[in-house]
Amino acid sequence: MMTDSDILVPRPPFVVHDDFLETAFELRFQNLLQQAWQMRTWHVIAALPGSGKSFGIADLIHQSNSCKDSKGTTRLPVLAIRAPKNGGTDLALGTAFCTIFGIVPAMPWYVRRAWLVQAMAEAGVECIIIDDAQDLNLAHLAFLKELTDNLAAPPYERQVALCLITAHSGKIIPLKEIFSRPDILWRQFRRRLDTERPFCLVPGHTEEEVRSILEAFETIYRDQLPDLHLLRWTRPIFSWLTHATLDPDETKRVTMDHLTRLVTVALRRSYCLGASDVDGATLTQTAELMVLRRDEIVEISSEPPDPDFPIQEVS
Amino acid sequence: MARLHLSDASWRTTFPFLVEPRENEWLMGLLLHCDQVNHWGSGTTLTHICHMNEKSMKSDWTLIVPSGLELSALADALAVTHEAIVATTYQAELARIYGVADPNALFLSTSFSFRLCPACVAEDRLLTRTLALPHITICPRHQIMLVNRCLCGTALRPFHWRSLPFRCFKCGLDWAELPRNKAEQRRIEIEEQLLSYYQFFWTYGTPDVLASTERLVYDSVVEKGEIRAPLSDKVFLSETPDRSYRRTSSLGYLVHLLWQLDLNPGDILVYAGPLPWRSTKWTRFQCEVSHCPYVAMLQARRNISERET
Repeated sequence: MMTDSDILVPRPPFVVHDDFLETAFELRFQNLLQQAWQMRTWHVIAALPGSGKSFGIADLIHQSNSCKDSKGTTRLPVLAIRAPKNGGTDLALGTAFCTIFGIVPAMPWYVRRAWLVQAMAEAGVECIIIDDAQDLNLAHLAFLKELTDNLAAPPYERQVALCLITAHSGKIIPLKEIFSRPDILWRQFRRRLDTERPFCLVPGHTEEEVRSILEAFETIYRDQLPDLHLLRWTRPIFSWLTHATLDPDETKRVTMDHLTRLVTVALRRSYCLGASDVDGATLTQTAELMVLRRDEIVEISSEPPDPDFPIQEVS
Repeated sequence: MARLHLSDASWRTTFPFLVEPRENEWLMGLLLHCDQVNHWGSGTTLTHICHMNEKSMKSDWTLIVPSGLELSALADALAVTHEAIVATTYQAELARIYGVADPNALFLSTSFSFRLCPACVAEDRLLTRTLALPHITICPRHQIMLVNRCLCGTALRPFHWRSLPFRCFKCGLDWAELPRNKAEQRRIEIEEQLLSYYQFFWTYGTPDVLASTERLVYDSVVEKGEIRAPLSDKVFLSETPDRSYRRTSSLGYLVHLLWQLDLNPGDILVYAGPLPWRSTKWTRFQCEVSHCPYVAMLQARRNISERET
């Protein structure tokens, strides 16, 4: 006899959750930013690409209680931008700052330069964060110094924190070499950096920290994979993700990007196969894709699907 | 009080510092207020909204009506409703009174000079819509004379690229520091009367009421034979769709005539009736029939007008 449970209902597509997770890395990173903000100190903060720096900055901004009210008051305690790409002049950095405030009408750069200082003081900017700061050039850094100096001078007299967030590779921390140059400008810049922790490096996740993230993933994806038990795969996952291909600097730490990719791809594959948990084989295959076959070229040679719309001759 | 958070999508599409229209605030004042809170030069907001330079703005810078200005863009940039911005002009009122969708500033007055109340500027950085009304020379709130020249002798200009908002473009004097001359009591009384006419039209004005007013004024002039001024200041009203034009009078002109002829809003209400009729001030409709329905109707209208006034 046929029952309701025998009827195969097609599963809805797998949904990847991109919620912000307060991982060990984020706690370390945000704690550093919070301290800099509180103490108005300057730092160069480096972490591996894919660690979750940008996510951490975005989350900090959301917590910073920035608001505009209709009585002319705007509060923007944390002003975070991404460094302009492809070089550019101080104008590019100034424009990036202005964009955060909203619509700023066209005005000459010398006017905008002065306006920016006034607007930052008025909005109560306390901490400036520049993501991808390794892309800053000398013109940008000189403008940054001018901007913060003007804020510190009368009539504003506002000391602001400055966090230059960089992606690093190997033992080299970007900007460190520039700030140690003998030119007056760089000596002045170097002097403004925090005495105790001028250059900081925030590492990725240890095996124990990976375990707690996997625990969080179990909770997040349990509605789609009811029997999900990821914790048991902590050790192999950590080993795969600290392989020399993914961890060329031999930090023996795992970045959030690698961990998320491995887990979501494996979970999606398992889900598509109708499983309610992920198995070792699926995880291994995914890890192999990431570690051993990451540069493999895939040839897309299948027949194109029928288009959903009628094809008509264009006269 | 509207509050935008950084996570709101409109954060990036609004001005850095926001203002909202205050009670009876004039669009001109709102734009200057926006310039001021954003630390911009005078006219920056206006230029941004209309994307035109000062030369082309001169065609109609009165801002009595939007005159092609994209008010919805300003509403979006200030995160307020379009209606709130329209209310800083006389667009809705003039559209209703003249029965057109897109009224011209000439419907209010054929000439315009920029004046302001130094006390309103000093207290709230406020320019009210009342400043745009013809024949109004006193601030109804502070009862001081409106000022149209700076102490340096320069005629005040609302927007000038070289000046800061609410300041003389020539000498930089803050408009708040302009002299506050007490108005004469007689003039105050006259302008209270003029304002009551305007208020009447803002509340009850329709093309019918406007036509009745023109007829009333015409009949009164004929009756009294005193007014030397022409009965219309020749404002041409476009009648779509054939784009023919008919002559009409500006509201400011009519209001002045009403005051000169000592007619009150009640007279207009009564005159709007279907009967050939003259002002109740100096004539009475007489009928030999003991219960004339027209006499009863006139009496009813008089009662309404007395209640209104």
